[in-house]
Amino acid sequence: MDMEEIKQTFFVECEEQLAELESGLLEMEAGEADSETVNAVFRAVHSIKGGAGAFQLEQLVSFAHVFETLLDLIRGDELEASADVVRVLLRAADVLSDLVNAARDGTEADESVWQPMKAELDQFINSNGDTSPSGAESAEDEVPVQDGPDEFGFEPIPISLDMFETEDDEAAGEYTVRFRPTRELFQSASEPLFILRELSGMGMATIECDTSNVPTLDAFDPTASYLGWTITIRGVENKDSLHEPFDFVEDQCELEITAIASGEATGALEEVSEDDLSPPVLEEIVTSPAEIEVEVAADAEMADEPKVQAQVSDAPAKVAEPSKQSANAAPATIRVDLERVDRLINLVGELVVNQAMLSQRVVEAGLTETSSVMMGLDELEQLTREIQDSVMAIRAQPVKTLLQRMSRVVREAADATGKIVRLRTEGESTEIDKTVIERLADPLTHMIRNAVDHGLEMPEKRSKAEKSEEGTIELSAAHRSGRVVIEIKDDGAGINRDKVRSIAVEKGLIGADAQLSDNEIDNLIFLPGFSTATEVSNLSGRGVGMDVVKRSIQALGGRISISSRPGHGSTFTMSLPLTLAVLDGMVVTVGGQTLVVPLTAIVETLKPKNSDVHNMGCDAAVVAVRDSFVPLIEVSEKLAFGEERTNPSDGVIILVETDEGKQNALLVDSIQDQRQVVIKSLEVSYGHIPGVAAATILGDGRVALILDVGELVQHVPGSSLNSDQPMMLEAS
Amino acid sequence: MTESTMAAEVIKLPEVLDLNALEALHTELLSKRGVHLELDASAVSGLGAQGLQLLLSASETWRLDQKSFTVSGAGDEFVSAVSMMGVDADVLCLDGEEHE
Amino acid sequence: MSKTILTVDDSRAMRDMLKMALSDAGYDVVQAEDGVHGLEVLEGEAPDVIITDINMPRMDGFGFMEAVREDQRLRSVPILVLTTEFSPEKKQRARDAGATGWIVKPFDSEKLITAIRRVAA
Repeated sequence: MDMEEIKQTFFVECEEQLAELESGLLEMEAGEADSETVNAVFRAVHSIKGGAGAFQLEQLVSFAHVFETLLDLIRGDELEASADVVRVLLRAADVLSDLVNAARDGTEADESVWQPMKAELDQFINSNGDTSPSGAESAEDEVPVQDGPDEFGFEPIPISLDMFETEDDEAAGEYTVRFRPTRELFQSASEPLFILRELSGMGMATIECDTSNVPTLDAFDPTASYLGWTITIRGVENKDSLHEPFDFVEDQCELEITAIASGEATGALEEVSEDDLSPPVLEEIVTSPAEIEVEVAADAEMADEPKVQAQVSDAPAKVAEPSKQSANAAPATIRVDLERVDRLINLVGELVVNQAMLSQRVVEAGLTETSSVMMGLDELEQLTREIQDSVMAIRAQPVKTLLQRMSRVVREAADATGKIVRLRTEGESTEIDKTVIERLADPLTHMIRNAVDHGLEMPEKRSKAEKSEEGTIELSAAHRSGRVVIEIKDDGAGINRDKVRSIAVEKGLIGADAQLSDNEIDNLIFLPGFSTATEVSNLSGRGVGMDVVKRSIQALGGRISISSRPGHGSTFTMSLPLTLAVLDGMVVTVGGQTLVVPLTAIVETLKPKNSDVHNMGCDAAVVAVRDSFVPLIEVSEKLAFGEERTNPSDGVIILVETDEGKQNALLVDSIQDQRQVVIKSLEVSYGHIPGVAAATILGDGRVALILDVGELVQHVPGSSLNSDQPMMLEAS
Repeated sequence: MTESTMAAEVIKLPEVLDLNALEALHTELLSKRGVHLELDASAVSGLGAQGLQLLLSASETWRLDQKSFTVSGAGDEFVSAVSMMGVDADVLCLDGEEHE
Repeated sequence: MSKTILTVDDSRAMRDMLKMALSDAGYDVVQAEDGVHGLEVLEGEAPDVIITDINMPRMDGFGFMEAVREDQRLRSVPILVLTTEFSPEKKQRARDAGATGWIVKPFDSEKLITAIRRVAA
């Protein structure tokens, strides 16, 4: 373990703290926070500051310090967390996050952002300093000298008499230290021995103990303090350093440090010499300042302090209090290297393949279904599935942080476009594979920005349409039939179908006279090349079209679609696999090869008749499916598997649907089986193959390619984009 | 004159002379007043100011009672603590030296 | 026999830093993540020194120290508090809760060890 590793740990913890911070501030914004929430928010910033200090991240420390100070006022009930204040805090949290990232990456944070933010926070702090908390008496009110919480105008410094010493005395470096502990010193578990040890290490010291106050046993109280010391020390350069050993106990003893040559002890303790040392008098003199100090300090406590958050009883593990618990009370967790988890997942994948192979071989060996070996294998398969599910669950994480990140995106987007937006999230605890979460961040961000930028109207327009000025975006995540469904719903103006249609025509994406259903028009936005310069605003940037988003989602094995109601808003729906590692697929034969078609893309399978197939010119064919014609794609030809062409009536048609609802018919030789396969990526070792998503190892040990249906149906060689559109011809 | 012919009673001091131990020791010492006493310090790992003042009190009390009081088996840490705290070893009769 | 120090801090980075500095100085280190955890650890054995943070979830440093001092067994164990700033009120508050001394963050190894040697062997 070295400082670099610890620094890594610190930045990981910063992420956690920032998440806590955001989460707590959002609760405060929604008015759902209690004192525990506020405390947690304070602690998050305090923690970041503390660690940052240890690594000398100056900018981060100075910003965090101001932020923390403001939060301290709030948790001490000295400043109200009004809506305005919370908004400022949220912005400050964003800035803090940026500063943390800059510190971690070793880059410079944008001063033009964080300096003004810091100044803004300062302003809140200073303007608050003028107003005392109502009702609670603060220390400043009691003591005449009031400069702020730290100043009593009184310091419990030992009454030292150095002010009367001449310069010569100090230069000599010889001092007398008189030290007599009070019982409080022992109560605090301090030990004079160690103090004397430290002191004697600072020069040439002679120590004398005054035992004259020690009573006989019958009058002896073990908790009292009867001893005093006189230390003569030579060779001390800096007189102030002599106070250091007494740093912890200055208010718990009588301490007098004088330079030897002067010999004159003037000042408050003048009349006190060693012989006259009478404890009662001394204690009076010395304890009275301590008393005042205690009194004042006690009053300073009248502001709310964080209460003990758990009762210590016979069962210390029990945490019993009504207020909200932070996530730290959650079930026990351990940290594991992601690499180890990945290895485990890989191994389990191999286990699944192996088990499938074993089953296959047993079947080939001709054992009957009911034999004990087969039954054993069934159990093995069950077990393997369970292990696989459990292992997949390890990498699964709640989407909470992802959803929370979006609230910042909404804030910034709203600021940039001048719209008033509120983000509501649902399903924070929904769990998704960690890698999927990471790859969702960008697409989600784009969609949210789009929703704010294009979906929601300006406040004035909204109120004219009798909507609230504040637009709402609902972001939800849920498990549905073995997949994760994420929805982004806005209550904006919905898709402007006329505009979309005309843009599509303009860009040559559809024919001018193409007849499309409303839903088909909506889904045009996913086409490559749809977004244009006219779409560029402050925030959407260039070329980040919905087609990029769609491809990202598809790359995750997911689907995306949109539905819209003019005047009421739009809803994007994404469905994603629970994990990237396995896939349910249909195993088919194509041109003598075995391929896997992802089940999620399959609508149905058909056995076509030659009469259903119609040729549409060079290499384009359609097949009649009920009332419509669907483009027919001969997979073996598409993938250039060889000369043999499949006769439609000899083969099977698999009707697939891409995410926009576009249907295509894939012609394959035959269907073998339907099963779950472990996905093995080819990209790392080989590269990307158009039409192929990945590969897998089947039960018989053969490698099978997994089709990328979306790519397959797009990649029509030699034809223009137009022919990719469903040609909804009426069957004559 | 001390009755040096009487055998001393021995109290074995515990390893740690924290406040809890000292309170117990104080009580025990009170119960042993009037006999020659030897404190066996061989197990003691360290001595602090509170321990020292108790020993000093005991030593003085025994002197006034005219009974012998010694501390035996004091280890290095014990001895150097006494010295660091500015007390003479013979005040406590370390190394079993009797005093008059 | 080397001395044992119990460190109580909810930040793993801080715990790691303390452990590194203290181990280098020859101390055995036992760790806890917050006040509640610290009390659990203390049921097992009494360390020679306790170092605790103040701001922690579940049970903060003040609560922890008060609970420690209530345990007769632990009344003489020196406790040092870790803190980023120490005003006179904070000092008094810590003192009232039972603290022996304090270490101001950011700390360096030297300051840390000096503070420990000021209260323990």
